[in-house]
Amino acid sequence: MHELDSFFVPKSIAVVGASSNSKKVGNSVLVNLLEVGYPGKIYPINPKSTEIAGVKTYSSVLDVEDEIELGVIAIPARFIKSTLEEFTEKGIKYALIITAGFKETGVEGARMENELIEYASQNGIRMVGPNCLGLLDMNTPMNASFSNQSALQGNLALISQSGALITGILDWTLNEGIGLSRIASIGNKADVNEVDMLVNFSEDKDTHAIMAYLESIDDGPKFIETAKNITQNKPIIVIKSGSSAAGARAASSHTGSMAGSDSAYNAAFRKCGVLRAGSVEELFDAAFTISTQPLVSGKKIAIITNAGGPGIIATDEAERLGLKLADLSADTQDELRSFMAAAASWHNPVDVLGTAMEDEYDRATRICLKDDDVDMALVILTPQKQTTPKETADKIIKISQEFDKPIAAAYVGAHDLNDSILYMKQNGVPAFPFPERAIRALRRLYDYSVIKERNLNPPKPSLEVDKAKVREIIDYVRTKNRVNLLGSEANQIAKAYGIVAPITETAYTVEEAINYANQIGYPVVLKITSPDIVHKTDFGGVVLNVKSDEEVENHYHTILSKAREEYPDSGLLAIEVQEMSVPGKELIVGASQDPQFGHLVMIGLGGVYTNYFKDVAFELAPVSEDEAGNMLQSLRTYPILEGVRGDKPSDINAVKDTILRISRLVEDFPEILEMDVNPFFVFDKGNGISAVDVKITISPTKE
Amino acid sequence: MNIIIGSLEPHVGKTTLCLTIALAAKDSGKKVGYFKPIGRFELDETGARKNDSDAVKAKKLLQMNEQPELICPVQLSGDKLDRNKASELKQKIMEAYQSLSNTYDLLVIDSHEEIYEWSYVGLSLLNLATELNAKMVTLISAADEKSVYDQIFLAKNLLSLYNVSSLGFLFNHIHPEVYDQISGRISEFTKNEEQTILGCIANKPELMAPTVKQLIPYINAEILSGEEFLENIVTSYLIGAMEADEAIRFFRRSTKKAVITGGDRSSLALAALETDTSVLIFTGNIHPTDQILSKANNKKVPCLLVQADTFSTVRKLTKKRILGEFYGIDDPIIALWKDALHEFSSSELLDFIR
Repeated sequence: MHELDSFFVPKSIAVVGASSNSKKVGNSVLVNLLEVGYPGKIYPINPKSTEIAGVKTYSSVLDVEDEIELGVIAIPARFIKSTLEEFTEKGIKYALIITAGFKETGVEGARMENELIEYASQNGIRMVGPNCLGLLDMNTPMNASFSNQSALQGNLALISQSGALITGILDWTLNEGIGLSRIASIGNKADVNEVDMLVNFSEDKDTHAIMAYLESIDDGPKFIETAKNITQNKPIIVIKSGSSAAGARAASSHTGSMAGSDSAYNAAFRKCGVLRAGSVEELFDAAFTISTQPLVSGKKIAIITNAGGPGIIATDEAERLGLKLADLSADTQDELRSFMAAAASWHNPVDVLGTAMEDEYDRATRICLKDDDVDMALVILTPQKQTTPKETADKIIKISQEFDKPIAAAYVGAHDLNDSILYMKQNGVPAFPFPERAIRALRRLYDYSVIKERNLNPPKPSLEVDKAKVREIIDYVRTKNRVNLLGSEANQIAKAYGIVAPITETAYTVEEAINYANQIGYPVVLKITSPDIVHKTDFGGVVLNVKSDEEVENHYHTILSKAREEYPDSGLLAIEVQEMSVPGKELIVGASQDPQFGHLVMIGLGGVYTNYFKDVAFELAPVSEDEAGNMLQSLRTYPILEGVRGDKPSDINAVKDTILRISRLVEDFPEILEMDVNPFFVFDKGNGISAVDVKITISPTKE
Repeated sequence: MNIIIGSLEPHVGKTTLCLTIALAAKDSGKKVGYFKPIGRFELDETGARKNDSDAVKAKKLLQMNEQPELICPVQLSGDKLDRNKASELKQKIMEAYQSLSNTYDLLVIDSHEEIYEWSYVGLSLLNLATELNAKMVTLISAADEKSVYDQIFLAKNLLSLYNVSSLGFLFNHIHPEVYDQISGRISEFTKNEEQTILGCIANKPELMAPTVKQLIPYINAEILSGEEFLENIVTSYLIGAMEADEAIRFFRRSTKKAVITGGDRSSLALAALETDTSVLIFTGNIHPTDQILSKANNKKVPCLLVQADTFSTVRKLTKKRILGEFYGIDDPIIALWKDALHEFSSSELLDFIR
């Protein structure tokens, strides 16, 4: 029994603010509890009534003699603190606060919310909300919400940061014939948040898949750790809204939380095996399919259809999403041909023709699923006069029960086919009105199957690094009250972590610059160095291929005077003298601390077109060897690194090694908020890399 | 013997340094006064003249009994001065000086602009130093090695031209890390020139930085929230006008900053709140959402609202450097300043005022 089960299977519920006025939330909650047939005791609390909807009311929870397990609160915000005090006296440990008017309304609301949080934590009360729709458990059954509907009983659970979305979804699931187990509207997440609910749902035996609509995640690392343990047993599928820039703006003004970068969310979900859905429909299709079908061992699909067109649409969609059409064996094709009409097709997609009835579907599908190359099947049906949707559905259900391979159905249509679609779903077969939806759902099943196979706790790569050196540099920079490191400092840090970088020195006079240049050996690079200047090349702050003392002197002064002109407020100006690098293929690599999830390590195509191609890959630190490899392979430019048109392959292992070293660096020194190596040269295989320009920003010292 | 704080450039923090030195000297038990021979009168809301604000502030901070008219005996508009009025003014100055020097063991003497201001009428601090029985501390506001030499050399010659005895030089603009790198050569230079380096005071940006409260009148801002955090110090001004992803990288590069952005740019405001921000200034009279205000309050960041657009607001804040001021004897910045005096490379200044 999970601690928060009292929110879903309480023996008794008090509804504080129960009302006889049907426009009031307190009335809706009470009516919903009664209508859903909640089996426990209900205590409406209202000092002005004696009974509401036929149930005796009490003027306070303190007047109730029996024990109360859960208190639902739907009274104005300012009265809630005193209600919680009564809860403490009565021994009620669980409060579902539906009332709005807290953090979301500004400083005063936030103050009240903080007061509730403090009181609840001091007195051992767990709170859901405030500012939420409520909670439902269709197996209890309990509907402690002000939704318009209850759900069908089922095995999918839903967590939502938007209460109103739940009411929409509930209405839709009734139409779709999809049942739910638990539904949680988490509102402002003052106490119980998405992570707590995930844990609760993972332990609920009636929940087979967990779905979530999230606008923000409060504690990223905890979310990842928790979800990692759950996804090995139950799938978690999430809609994280705000993936577009405008959506992110809307989400941040809605929730008041920083919209972390979408790349960070994707990396976080990958790390813990959470699937991300793009729409509510996809969320449910994936959850239903994964929770009803066996895992799939490969990407090969057989499509059995009675119509050519929808078969081709399905094929295109499968290829687009990275599934493969199975190569049916000669035996399979012979077997199919033995009973099929001459006009039919025994290649995949298998066309049983428009006149096919349930037996032809049955035989064709069974033959396909027996083929070793087939990992899963999609049955497509369009309604002709001869077609037998219901009977065919029976066959599909039977096959689904007999075979240990996933199967889905696309009954193309609605008016005449809806009953059969619902019927299949009731019997655990994912069925859809269009083949594309079915293919997408099967692809998600494949993704989840891969997650189940993956080791979500990969070994830590063994790397030799000089932590003490980095500590020393960072401590020095902090004594100078700087957050931006000089190029020479950043360069030394990279070197301390085994990342090859050209020799870089900071000169404060032209004599020093000439000395360094001679030590390094001509030609050298001269760069402006200042913690305040990011875009050095824009104003002529970088001069390559400086060949003599005289040239150093010439450029030293020119660069400085241009910099003073361009950045008159910049206090610290000096010149960096750097060993000239042989150019290689240009990449960028770096790390940035995401406010929600921690450090995000990045690799991408470098050079002047970086910002246009945006060919970049992200993973959250700590990055494993496999992840580093996947990052590189996910780049569109990866084939260029492998060598195209006679080019020698690049030193891909050295790039991977750099990713791991940067990941280790930011893991060891979380105060590094931003690190950027641009350009980052990779040379031919065996010749390594060079971190030419390293920029690092650290967090300010806490006062 | 008294002390003059002079500089070759105006608006480099002379008065703040005067007051700090005066307060430090008071700590050692001396009776210390502030004297500004020639200041500026100012105008109140009705257009009537009021006293030089440095004199008013010094009176309050040093708890001087004298009136501002004595602390700053000549208050001008800053316009050209008739030469034949000079002797009359000088007499006024000397009378005030006599009166003050009878009361105080040490006078810390300030000028309105450069040390040579009013030299054409014989009333600059260079002209008056000997008669005021004062040694000169010269603030060097140059930012690089060459200009440091130029200023030291020029100041040395100016002082000797007027027979003013020099206590030494203070650097208040050069970046401390640059100073660390070149201080060896600077000492050598000054040694050859037989001059003294007192120290470098630029390494604490907060010494010269204004508080949020001080910014408000410049931009005519309404306080939306966080009234209790108006003492936050502002050392830089950043405009928020990009996507949030980039913004956070940008904001991380600056500390103790004012972020100026439109009230409808919630994601930018939130990005700023993830970094070291001292104040959010919302422009164009667009109210941010309540969510933002409550988040800012949690992070101890006040929120201001202004009518003007982002560009004009930033211009008002940056066209002339707004220097930090202190208001009362308990102002925490005074302690910081005293610490800074103690960190000087040479003890000559402290020895002198004790």
